[in-house]
Amino acid sequence: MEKQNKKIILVTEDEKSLQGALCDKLTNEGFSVVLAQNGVEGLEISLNQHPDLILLDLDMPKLNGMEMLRELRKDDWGKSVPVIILTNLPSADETINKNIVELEPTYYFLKTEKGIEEISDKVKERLGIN
Amino acid sequence: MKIKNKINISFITAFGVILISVGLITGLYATRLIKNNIYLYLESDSHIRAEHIRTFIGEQKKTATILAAASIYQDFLKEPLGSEQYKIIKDKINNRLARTMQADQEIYEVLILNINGITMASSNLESEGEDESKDEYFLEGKNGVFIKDVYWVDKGEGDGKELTYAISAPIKDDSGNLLGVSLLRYKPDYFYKIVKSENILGKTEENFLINKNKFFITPSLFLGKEVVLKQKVETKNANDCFDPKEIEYVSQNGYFNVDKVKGLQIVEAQDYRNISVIATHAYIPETGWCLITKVDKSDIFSFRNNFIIIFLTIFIFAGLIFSIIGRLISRKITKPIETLEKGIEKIKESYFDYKVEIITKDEIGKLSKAFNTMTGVVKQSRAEIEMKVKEQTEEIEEKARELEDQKKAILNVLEDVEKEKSKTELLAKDLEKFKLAVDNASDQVIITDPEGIVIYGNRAVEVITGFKPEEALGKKAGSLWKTPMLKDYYEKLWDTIKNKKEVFISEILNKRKNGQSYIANISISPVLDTNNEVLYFVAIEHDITKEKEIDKAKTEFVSLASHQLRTPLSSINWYTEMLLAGDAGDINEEQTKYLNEVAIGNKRMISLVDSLLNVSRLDLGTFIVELENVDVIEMAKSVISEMRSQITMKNIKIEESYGDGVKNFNADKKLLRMVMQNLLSNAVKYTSQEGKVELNIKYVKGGETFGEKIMIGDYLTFIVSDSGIGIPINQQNKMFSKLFRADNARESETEGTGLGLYIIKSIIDQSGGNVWFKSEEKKGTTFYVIFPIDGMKNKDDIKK
Repeated sequence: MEKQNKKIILVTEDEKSLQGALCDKLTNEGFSVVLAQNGVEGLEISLNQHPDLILLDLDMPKLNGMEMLRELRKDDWGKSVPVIILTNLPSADETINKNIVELEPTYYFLKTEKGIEEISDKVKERLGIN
Repeated sequence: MKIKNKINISFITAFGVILISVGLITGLYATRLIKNNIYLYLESDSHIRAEHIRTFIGEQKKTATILAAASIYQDFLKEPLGSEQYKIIKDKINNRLARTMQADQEIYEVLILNINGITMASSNLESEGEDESKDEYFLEGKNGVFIKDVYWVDKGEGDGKELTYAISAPIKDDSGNLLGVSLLRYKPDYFYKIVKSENILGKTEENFLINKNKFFITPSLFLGKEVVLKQKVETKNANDCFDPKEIEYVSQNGYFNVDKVKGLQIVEAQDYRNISVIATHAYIPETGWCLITKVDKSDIFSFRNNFIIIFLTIFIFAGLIFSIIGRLISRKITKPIETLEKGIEKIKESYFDYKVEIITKDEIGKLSKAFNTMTGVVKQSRAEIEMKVKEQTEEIEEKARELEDQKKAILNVLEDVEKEKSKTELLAKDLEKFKLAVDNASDQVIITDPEGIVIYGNRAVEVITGFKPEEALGKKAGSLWKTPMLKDYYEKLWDTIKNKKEVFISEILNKRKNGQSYIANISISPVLDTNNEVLYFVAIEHDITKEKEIDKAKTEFVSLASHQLRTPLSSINWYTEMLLAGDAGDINEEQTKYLNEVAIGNKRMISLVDSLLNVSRLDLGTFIVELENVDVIEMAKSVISEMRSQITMKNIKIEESYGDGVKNFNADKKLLRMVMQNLLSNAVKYTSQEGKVELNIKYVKGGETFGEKIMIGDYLTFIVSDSGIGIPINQQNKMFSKLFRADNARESETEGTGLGLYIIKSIIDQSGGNVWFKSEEKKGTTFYVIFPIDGMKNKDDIKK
């Protein structure tokens, strides 16, 4: 398979173990996975590599997920890239809740709620892959 | 004093003054005039008479001389006695003498004396032959005409004595040789006539003659003939007459300008009677007599006095007339004034229609016209005033009544006040306590007037803001520490407290004196009086910085917990999933079994962590309530379908029933879902095989009974009942407590956090609803949940 045909998924996640699980799974499913440790990296990679979808953790050092997403959305390309927020922070939290609407993530998933298979399916669905 | 009298008195006074002045002047003048006239008269009278006498005597002297010069006299005396011729001549002489006697009635006797003084012939034959040689008229007559002063002579025939005077003249021959003396004796009657006054000046006017010895030679008017040659006149006047200088003058010049000699001859002195007279004198040089002319002063001045009396009478009469005229004039003048006066009296009696009738065109007439006008004005204004007074009196009476009422009210109030006084004193002590309490409270308490001006601040102001409460007094609240406020927020604040007169509660960001910012919970409450008007605002500020920090810490903890707890759980979750999915290679049955255990354990853990986080968030209030239209039936079915596997496994019968019109409900999806999930999952969990679970959702109206309670409003209600293990009665009161699990629950099902009911009760309570249950051990449990019909409420709504 040519790497150019593979969809690029950016996984922005600071927890190593979780990174590993997501990366393995998505790679198995046939995606090209790029990793970012924090929001700064994530933003940089996004703007440089223009991934097809971004899996975004919120609670990260240096620049948290929300801020990164905000910055991302200011970009012409960035404002429409699909972003699935994968976090353990509850959406019902006031601070998060405000921003979710305006930052327009595709999904807001709690890691503890969603199985990895489910996540992978959602990614496929979003990108129009069966 | 009345004008009339004034005029009268003026008149009389004027008159009197004139009278007196004129009277005095006239009196004085008259007196002088009279005096002068009298003097003049007396003097001239005296002089005229004197001249008359002198002339008379002169005539008589002449007669004597002529007689003496008669030739027959010479012949007679030359003729010797006894001769023939003598007799003839004697007869002739006798005839001559008789004729002479007849010719002049005054002659008393005519005599011819010879050179020896023997009476040769006489008209009185008895006198012939008498020797007169010793008599001075012979002795002096020899030399020249001689007048012998008046003297007494026997009348003869024993008739008493007579007054007489004699004039002798020498008889001389042609050669001038003395032959004899002619002698004429006169009666002084003619003098009597001369001196007889005409009483022009008065009855006391008198003239008389005195001889050189100052004896009367004519009778006195008052004392009669007796005084003749018997009484002397020793008066000043008489003395003056015989003044040598005057005698000399008069002898030479007569009476003309005789007063040049010694001044006025007229004297005012005492006469021989010692009565005051005005007298004058005239010296008769021929005889050496003095003619005294006098008049009693009283007589003169009686004349004057009469004159004055007449004058006075006229004057008084004139005066009376004057005063009558004066009276008339004054009356004429004052009458209008009296009329005016009467008018004023009438007005005093408030008879305003009285019109003064004065027709004169003078000032008084004008005055009366003005007076009438004034009366009219007074009348009108009086009427107005009376009306006003009436109005005012009514007002005053009204006010008085009000005052009476007020007085009563005040008295009542005072009674109450007295009662209250002791209460107040106690209250004051309490207030002191309160004041101390407020002063020392840890929260900031500020009291402002209705405009927001600070009138009180407690000590906490300084503690919290760093500003002393005194610094804030009189300033607008918040201005001192420059509370940053948005316009909308500011307007909302004032609208709430001033217009709506409600409590305003908010969190604000403030700045301390040192510039440090802090967060505070403020509540501003309006204090209203009995008329619902704002008396004060009470602002209480609670520095919640610490709390906020704690909150922040809690929130951070939550997120921390979320992240830190969940991350490894997620990791376990996914890896076990991938293992079970065979992504790492095939696994055997036992491996699968163990991995499943791991997965289950992980899921429990995740569930517990979720519950814990929910509890925390509910406690913190960090849950956002997003109200939207929720299809409750659809949600219920969805929740039930989630539990399908469990329901099927336990073969539990689920009965759903939904009331009329139950569909859309204003709620927070996730929270409502949590409620439903918890209740239904509990019902399923604690119901054994073949059990039954019923779900009912319906509307209940106010007044109806639901769950053995009477609804006081309209509600959306849920009933979840099961035929499960029930709840022991002695543990029912702890069911909604955190982490509580009833004993039988723990025995039957080890899985359970004990947080579920706490969470849903929290949610339901915060939504404005209520939850309770009815349960019997081993029989079953029924949970009742009600939500207000217009939806779940925000926590903000609830706080209101």
